[in-house]
Amino acid sequence: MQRGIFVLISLFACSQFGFAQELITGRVVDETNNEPLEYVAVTVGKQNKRGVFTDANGYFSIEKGNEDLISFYLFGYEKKILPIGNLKQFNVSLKAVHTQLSEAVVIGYSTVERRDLTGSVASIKLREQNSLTSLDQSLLGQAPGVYVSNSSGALGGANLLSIRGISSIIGDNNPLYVIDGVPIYSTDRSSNSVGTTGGSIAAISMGGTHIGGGSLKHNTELNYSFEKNPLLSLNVNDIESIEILKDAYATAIYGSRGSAGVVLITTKKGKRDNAQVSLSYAASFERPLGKLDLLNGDEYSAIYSQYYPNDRYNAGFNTDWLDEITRTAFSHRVSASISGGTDKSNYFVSLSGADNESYIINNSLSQYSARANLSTSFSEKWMMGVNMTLSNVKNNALSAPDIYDAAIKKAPNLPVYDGADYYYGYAPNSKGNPNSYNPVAMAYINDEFSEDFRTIGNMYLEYKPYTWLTLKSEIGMDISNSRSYVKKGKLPATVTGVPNNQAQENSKFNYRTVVNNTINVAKVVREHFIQGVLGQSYENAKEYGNTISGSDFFSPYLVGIGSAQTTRVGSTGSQQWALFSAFARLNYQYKMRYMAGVTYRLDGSSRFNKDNRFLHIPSTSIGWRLSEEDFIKNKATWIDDLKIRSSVGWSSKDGNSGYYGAQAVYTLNSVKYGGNTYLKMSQPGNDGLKWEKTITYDIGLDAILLNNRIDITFDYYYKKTVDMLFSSDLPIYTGYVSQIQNIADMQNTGLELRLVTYNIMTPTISWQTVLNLSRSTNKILKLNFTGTQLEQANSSYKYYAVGYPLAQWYLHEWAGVDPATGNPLWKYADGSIRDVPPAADFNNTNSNKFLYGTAVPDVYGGLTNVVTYKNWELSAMFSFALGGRMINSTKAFLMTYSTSEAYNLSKDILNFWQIDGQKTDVPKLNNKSIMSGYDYTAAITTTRFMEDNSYLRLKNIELVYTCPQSWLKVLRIGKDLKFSISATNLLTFTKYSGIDPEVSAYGSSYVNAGYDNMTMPQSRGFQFGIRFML
Amino acid sequence: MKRLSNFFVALALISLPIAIFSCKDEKDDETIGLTSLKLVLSGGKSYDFVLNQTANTAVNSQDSLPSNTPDALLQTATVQYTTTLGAELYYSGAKVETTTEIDFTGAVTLEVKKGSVNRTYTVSVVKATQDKSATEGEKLTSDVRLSGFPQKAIRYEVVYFNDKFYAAVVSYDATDDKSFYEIYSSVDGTQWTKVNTTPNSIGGVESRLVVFKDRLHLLSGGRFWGTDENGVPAEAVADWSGAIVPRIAAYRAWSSADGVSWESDTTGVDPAKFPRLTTTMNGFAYNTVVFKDQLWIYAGQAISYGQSQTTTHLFSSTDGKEWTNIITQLSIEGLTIPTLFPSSKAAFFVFKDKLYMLGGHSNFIGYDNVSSKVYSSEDGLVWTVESVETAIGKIYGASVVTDGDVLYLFGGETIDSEGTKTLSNKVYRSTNAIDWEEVSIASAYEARRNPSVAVVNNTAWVFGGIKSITSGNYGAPEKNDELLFDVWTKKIQ
Repeated sequence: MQRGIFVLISLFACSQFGFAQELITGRVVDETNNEPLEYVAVTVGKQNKRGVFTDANGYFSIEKGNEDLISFYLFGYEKKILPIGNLKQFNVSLKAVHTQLSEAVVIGYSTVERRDLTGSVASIKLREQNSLTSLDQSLLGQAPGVYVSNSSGALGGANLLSIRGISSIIGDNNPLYVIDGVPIYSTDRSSNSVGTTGGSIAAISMGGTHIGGGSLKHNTELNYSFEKNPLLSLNVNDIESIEILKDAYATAIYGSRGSAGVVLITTKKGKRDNAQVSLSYAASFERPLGKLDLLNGDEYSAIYSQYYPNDRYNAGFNTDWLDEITRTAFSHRVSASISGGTDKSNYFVSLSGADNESYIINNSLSQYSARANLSTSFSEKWMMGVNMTLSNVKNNALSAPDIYDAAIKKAPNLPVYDGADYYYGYAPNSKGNPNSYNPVAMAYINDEFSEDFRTIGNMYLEYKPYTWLTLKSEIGMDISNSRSYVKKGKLPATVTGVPNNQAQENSKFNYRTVVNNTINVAKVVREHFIQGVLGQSYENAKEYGNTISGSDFFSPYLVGIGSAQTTRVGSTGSQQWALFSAFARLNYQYKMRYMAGVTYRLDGSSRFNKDNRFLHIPSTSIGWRLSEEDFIKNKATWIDDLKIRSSVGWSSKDGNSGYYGAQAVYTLNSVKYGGNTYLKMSQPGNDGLKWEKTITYDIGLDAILLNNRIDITFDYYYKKTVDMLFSSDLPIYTGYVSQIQNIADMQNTGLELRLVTYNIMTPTISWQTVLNLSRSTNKILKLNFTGTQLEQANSSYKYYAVGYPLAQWYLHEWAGVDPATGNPLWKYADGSIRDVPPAADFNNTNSNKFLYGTAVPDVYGGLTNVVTYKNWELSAMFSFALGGRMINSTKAFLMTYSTSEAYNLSKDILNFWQIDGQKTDVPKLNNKSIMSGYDYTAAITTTRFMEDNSYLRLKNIELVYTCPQSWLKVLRIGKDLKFSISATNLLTFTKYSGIDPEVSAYGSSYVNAGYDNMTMPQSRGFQFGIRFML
Repeated sequence: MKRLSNFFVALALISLPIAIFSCKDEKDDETIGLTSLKLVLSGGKSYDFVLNQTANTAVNSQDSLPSNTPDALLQTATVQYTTTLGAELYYSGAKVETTTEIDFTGAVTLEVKKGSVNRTYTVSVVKATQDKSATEGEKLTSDVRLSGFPQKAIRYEVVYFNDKFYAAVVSYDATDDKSFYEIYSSVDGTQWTKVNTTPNSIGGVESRLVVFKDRLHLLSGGRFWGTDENGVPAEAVADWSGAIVPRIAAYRAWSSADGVSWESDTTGVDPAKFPRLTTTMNGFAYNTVVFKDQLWIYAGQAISYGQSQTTTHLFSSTDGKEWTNIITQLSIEGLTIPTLFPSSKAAFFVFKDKLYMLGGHSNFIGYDNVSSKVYSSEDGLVWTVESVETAIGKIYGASVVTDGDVLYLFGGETIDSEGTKTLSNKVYRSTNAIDWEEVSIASAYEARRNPSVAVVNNTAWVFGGIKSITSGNYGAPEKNDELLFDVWTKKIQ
């Protein structure tokens, strides 16, 4: 598992002088967990004249000479020297010292020791987590430069994860995930969105008062799609380690997919002579983090009766719709694995199943997965293996966000039931949403789910003609079959205006294959160490999909679309792309002090025109281990290890222009001429479309201080992305409005710090603290147009201009409420404060807007403390984000009483201005900013609803008890037994007035982040777990 | 020691952000109080108090009682009031009801309470020291609903006919979703009595009450909300999305010689002679005027799929029953394109044998679509510009009356170049319909649009109007438009 370069040197130096005598054999394990240790240098003689490494299972064999002593050394462990005497068998355990430098780090197509890294790579060893449903949740606060935000409390919903800021405006900012060498694609929002309309088209309300100034009022993307989390198919308990490649030198080996970072996931493998059966069970109870403070029926009646004096809003009936649709969710998860091995083979087989309830009634998520990781050596030099996982995820919680949304908005003076049936509509209230639904009925009548079957795996063949040379061929695949089904149940005939008795089904079949052929070299020649890889890769992806819908089912028991009386075929078709790559990497070290590396990759993608198809991606790095220099070694003994490193290189993101972004696209014209159908060009071709390219400069420092008490990693980076894709206006004579072009340049800069301190280290008590801290800033350097760019890429009303951070808030400034009149006040660009909303002046509306930063926090990170006392372990992980901004669109909705929908309102509305001199931030109901059919007070393009969503959250706290070995021996119940209790999201400190400062209505979209739009808050959960090992 | 210091460093790392995030904005204290207060004398005349929330006082300083008001009336006065949400008003320890008699011959203490919060007002009544009816106008009452007018009125229009004021009133009671289409009459303009008409339900929202050839005519009107007293439901239709939206199902018209017995002016009439846009689309909110012995309808509105829009009606009639569509004969500034007819909510008036049109708007109420012009016509068909812009500016919803020699303009809604609409509380006078001067009016005269104004004996009687700004861009009536129920007189001189 681990190896040390200096040991390599000694090994190869000493092996030249071996003696042909009898053998000493043995095994080396970790003292703490009895895990076998690989690459332990086993040497004999005082001068370490001869030596060998332990193998993957900790075994070694060395010829016995005349020497008296045998030593065992592995970086990160205390060296052990033993007298040989007449012994021929040594079973040794080594005690770890607390440093991560000796860990093997996966860096793409090969591994290196952390101490030898010259790129920026964060490694994460996952703790046993019982409450996690997806991989990305486990990364929150775990690594500097990795920003994770749980976008909502929707079960199975996508989260926001980005590495070192934004790398594309219109494209996908999700990193590339690679599981055991197989790239996982389609992790972006558009690929994972599931429509929940059931085939209906959202009605656009006409007439009445609208929200002025632009808003998300008709946010069809939010209301009618659910973004699935593509990482649900991976069982978190199968993961051995996660490596996050951040800088260009680290990511360049993945070439055109690396600019948003790369997450390498290595799953667990079996170990020789260490057969283990592991069983774990966890159960959890969850409730939403909080509850919106809404009007009750009487208050609702009072407010609307005051605003609409001639309408009817009866008092006397109170329904708490949020209480009606929420519950305490119970979930449980079972995992089992068997692992082990022989001197030829090893195996890891696991099964897991989880049933998770949503805190929204009648909504749930189930996950099942199976994994088999097998390898065998069928000769001394040949090895083969297979890693394969099968998963099934059924998400019956697609409608949960819609139900939550409907419950918030529903008038509280209406009942849930009308006799034996549900109560529908908004009568007897005079106003209400024509599409208003009964949220409880939504949960029980509608049938909305998605089901995903996925197979991810690879097979490989490895040939090792020499100890320093490895040839490897592998074939990987990612096959997914996804089906979503949304059926809106039949409603009574008296209910009008609500889509019902209709269904839509969407099927997708995707398969991707990857073939990698690599040659790995690791060679020490005197004081020189060379490590390199030369390889070739070919990837191919095909997608098939179709959508069908039907309506007028004559029986509610019929579910097949074909049984509907009216059926329609929606989108149907297939698409494919391919990527050919060649790559090479060479790392060089001299005297363990001076390091240099160079990486080069050539990618050719089918997504681009032949003239722009190939991309050359070079990168280089250097490193200097100062701690090996005498002036440190001798004069600063408090420094255990000190290395500075720097890198520069290019990377890109392949999929941002779509499958056929460069080509002209033709579609059927819906208008017929002379009874005939014609093709029309829906997308003009753009032969000049080329790759987005990112150059990244990184300088970093790794240090271990004070006798391994403090471990510091620090990085500064500068990323410049050029030729970014963005929608550009076209001249009218072209017949098209806009086209995706390479027109923007942008920079990202950032600081990252990881600080690990071992505060207390005694045999009975230990205390470790890990702080991850990140700061990133961003600026657009070039656009091919001037001024504001609000109309394009702007479902979230962001601003793009040269010299400013990307995706700025661009808002009218709310200046409070005039205590004398109760009218809202607004700040204008000339500094004046007026009671006329600037948005109402259509000709000058933009000139009176101001920039208000971005949704991205200035600083974010995590703070973890782990305290152990005897058999007890207490861990607490805080996550935090500072300086971010959120548009509380939920509040905007809940302060909107002027539209014909007559939604329920926030209790804050009761503070509306009523009397001369009253100081309040809620204007009088009839105020001057509700004018000409527009309500400018409720627009989310004002600062009224912008809030600082900085937070500090106790994300997870866990107490684990490990049964003493003595008990286990007496009871004969296995090797290990652990009990745990934990709580998630127990405490949150924030000024944000909404329920959850972490949510994002746009799921995984980084550019559109920063909206809380009726978004389901995360849950607060309590878990109990038991882990049992035979 | 090292361990201890490490501990405190870690503690600081944890506690500092908690301290930062724990800061919360302080909430404002709850503010309670009176939001309106009205003095009601026996008989129903009412007067508004001016509330001073700083001094906690209420005085009817702008709405003074006539100087000759006897103290006996003040000794048995009652009050109408509104408070902040959830608060209640107390007098001498008892909650104030509409029937609670309070002696206002001296200062009175009223207390507003909500839970443990209270606020005390000192209320004083003053009488006028001089009669300003000839100069600034006189407010006869602040709310006719306290003297016989229906409480739930949502639209009304008043004319003077046969020595009485007649009002066509639409009321809506949200409690049981019922509408009433009634006629009320008054001799003095303040005390109103329901006229038991035959039939019992006539008119509609924005119907027009016109005196023509010694008969009272009631034209068109929408029935958008509630079931009428005969059980006939509101007129509505499902739009393309399935939503139920209002419509006008039929053209309606009645006329009466006495205000009590009304005859249908549509029964037996060829529907082709109805003044409507198409055979299925009926109008309402007409501009009506009597000119050259004919009754004229200019513009108006129609509803299609729930959307109210301005029409280009132009009809004339000699009997109020059969109408002639003469839109094709229309000529404005030499143009015959009806869409350029900016006459919705314009002020039409006859002055010195000519028909005039002042202000108004075409379909969408925006700055460019609101007129500041004054047109005149000798025959009602060919219109010429008298003035491109007057001192009044762009306006619609104003009412113009005349005694034959001078013109007075009351109310209206103006619009500025930024599209901001403002209600007018000004009164203008003119002797030629072109040059308008602002004349004085009491400060208590509130801004309004579409007031009903009748001229009786050289005195203009101004009845209410709408005190909320047009809510949409098409001028569609809303049942929640805020109405005024005050009555003013202003000498025309």
